[in-house]
Amino acid sequence: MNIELLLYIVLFSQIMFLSYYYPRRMLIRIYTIFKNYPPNEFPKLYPESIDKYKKSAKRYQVMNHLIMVLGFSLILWFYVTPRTGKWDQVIVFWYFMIQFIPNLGIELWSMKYHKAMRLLNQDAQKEAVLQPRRLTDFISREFLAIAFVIYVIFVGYVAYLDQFDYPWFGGYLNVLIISGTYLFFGFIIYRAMYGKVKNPHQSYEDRKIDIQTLIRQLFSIAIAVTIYAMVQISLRAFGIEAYKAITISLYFHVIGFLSMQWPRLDFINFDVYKDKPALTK
Amino acid sequence: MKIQIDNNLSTPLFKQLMDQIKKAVIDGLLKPGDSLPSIRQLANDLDLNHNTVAKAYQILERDSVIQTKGYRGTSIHGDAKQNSTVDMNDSITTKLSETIKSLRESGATDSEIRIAFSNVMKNQ
Repeated sequence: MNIELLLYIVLFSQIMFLSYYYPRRMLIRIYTIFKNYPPNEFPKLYPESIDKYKKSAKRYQVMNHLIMVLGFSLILWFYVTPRTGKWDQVIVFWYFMIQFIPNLGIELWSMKYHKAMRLLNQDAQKEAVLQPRRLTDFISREFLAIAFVIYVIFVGYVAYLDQFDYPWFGGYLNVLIISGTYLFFGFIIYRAMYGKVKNPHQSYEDRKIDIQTLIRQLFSIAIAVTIYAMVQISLRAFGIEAYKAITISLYFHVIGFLSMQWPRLDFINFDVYKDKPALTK
Repeated sequence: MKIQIDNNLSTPLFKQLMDQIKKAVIDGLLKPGDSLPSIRQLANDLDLNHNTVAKAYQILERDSVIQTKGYRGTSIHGDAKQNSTVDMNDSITTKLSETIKSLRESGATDSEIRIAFSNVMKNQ
């Protein structure tokens, strides 16, 4: 298949997946919560007015629609403009960054949401489990071993290529960047496991599920990013850089898929967001 | 095993923590060798100051209810059950009462006892 055509297909898929399917799934999840767990029954779930949250959801939807249109325009521009293909990878990368903006907004919104929840929380009683949390409580040793082995293979691969003195090859800078990513993920995991409680009403079991989901996502992304780095290095080494834009787009598909592994709503204990029954005399 | 802290109670928070850990040991919910969460984890989970949890752990360690072994973290002491039944406050009160009674019997006034107690405490 023609590389150019393959790029259009993969980019189209990236647009549909990350700016249509992913936000749609997210919005379905949000609106299901609004519908099944309304403010009158679950007041603690809404530290602010539900209308405000509905507006935010609408904004998220509109932003994704606009980004989708931008993506289709990009394909059209690719089609009508004669290009060398040299900058395709950079364009696909920056388009993904734009696709990521609404989700970054959701993250910031989530931080503000939990802060409002904590400020309104008047429960004098606090509960904790007298059990230390360890990484292996949330992820299997095999999964940890796979991540470690892939990292070692990556370092070995960089060391192997380093002897050939490729002009473009960043050498051990590649190892430094990937190691930095691992360290950053490690910091996020540490904060999730031992940091302050974000949601003061959440049950301990649900919090454990949240931590587990995050850890599994980050480990999967760490493995994906390492494999992706090896693929990118290989493409340059074998002189088939024309596939770089396609592989980066496929990589973003994987990142999107991994980020979409949310805990099931019917497994979450929403009763904690109900008001406690008033004491009767 | 869950632990609960109530900010509205007049009992100090570190005491609430200590009492519940001791009770769990006495009730057999925590057994010798069982691991306890780190100070940071427990303080963040209960939204307490780290020093509050550290103080509770320090006193429990002094009373040999828990033990800290470097990187292995904190766990329940082998003699925890026996040591949990001893209340240091009760023991101090009993010993002091006996001493004060004996001093009074030997003719010392309350004022003299207070001054002497204060001087001894200052010199310690």
